Amino acid sequence: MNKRSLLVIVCAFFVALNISATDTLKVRSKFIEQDSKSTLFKVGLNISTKYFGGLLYVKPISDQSERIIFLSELGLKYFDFEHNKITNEITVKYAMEYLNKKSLISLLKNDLLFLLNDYNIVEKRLKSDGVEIIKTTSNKFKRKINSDSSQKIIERGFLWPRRVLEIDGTSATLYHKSIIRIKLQLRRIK
Amino acid sequence: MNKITLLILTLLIPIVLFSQSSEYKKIKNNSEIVIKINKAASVTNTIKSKFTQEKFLSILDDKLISSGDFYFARPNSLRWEYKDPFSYLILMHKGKIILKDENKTNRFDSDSNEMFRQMNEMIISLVQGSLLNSNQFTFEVFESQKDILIKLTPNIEQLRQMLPCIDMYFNKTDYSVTEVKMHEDSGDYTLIKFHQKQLNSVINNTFFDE
Repeated sequence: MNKRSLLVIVCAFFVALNISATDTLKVRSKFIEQDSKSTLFKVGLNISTKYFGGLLYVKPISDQSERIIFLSELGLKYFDFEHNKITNEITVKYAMEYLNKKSLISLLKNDLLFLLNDYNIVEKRLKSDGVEIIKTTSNKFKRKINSDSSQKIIERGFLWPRRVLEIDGTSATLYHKSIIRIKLQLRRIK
Repeated sequence: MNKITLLILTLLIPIVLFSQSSEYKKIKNNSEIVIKINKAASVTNTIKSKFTQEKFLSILDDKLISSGDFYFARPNSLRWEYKDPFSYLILMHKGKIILKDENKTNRFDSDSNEMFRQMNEMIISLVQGSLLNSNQFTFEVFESQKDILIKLTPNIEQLRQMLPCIDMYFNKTDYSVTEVKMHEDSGDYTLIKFHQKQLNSVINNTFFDE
């Protein structure tokens, strides 16, 4: 097989999968522009029956990391996380007493990582009902894009769906498809 | 002393004097100031003001600015409304506290909830300057040419962990609060500046309705 034939076959393979080599599932970039100095969200966070309203501030502090700070409207700090974009890990710099529980922090970290990532797609399939089945390097997703550009992304777990993210313009709602009662509502304001 | 040294000193003296004029000096006998502040608070029936809030995050060396309107009517009705860059409303009226944001409205009975009763008292006292009469704080008084600065330290350990120090600035003209600066241990602070303030103007009771 010569080089040209090989190239044609590789191209045909990607066309068949309906993806390009650089195709990504853009979650993060729906909210945060890559060149922005900082992004400010109005946020409502429901944890079981408790509700925390406030502001989520995402600010790059270097090429490798960014700070994610959640404050009440009056300025009280709920948590302060650092996100390492290279290792994709979040470390806790501060969390108020109520939130500073290992299992809760772990859930919050994973929810934020879900929001703050763009995922490299390795396989994509379009079903007849318009739902896309997406496999990325780390996760599996179902996505439905509506005619008004709003979309619903469901992260697949091992046996059942984990998280659901509904995006409409600069607003989004993230919730869990399980007994976990955490719901995060965001609206970008800056 | 040679002529050059004398010249330098002569040039420096006005600079030192000028810089001292804007500095705050500690007042040892503060009872007179406290009486003036209490007297001004006792004749203030309403406050109508705009406010600007700066949240300074030391690690990021950055400020988050928000602003809105503020209404207070004696004895304890308050409408604290953030308008930019987000909407958020705190209402305190007739024993009820309402916190309203874009997603949710929370209603509390200030008498049945100890935390909100304290919050209600603290905010009203901050506005009125009557925190000085509270045994929940110890304070020191400082004075500049224009302002009085009162540094409050919470006596309650739980509150002190969140807010080790609160600075309250009072205008020397009418002894009303002009700025409140709430310091955190991390070096972060929240500064609320009141401006376009009107004392004792008419505020319709409906301002304190939801």
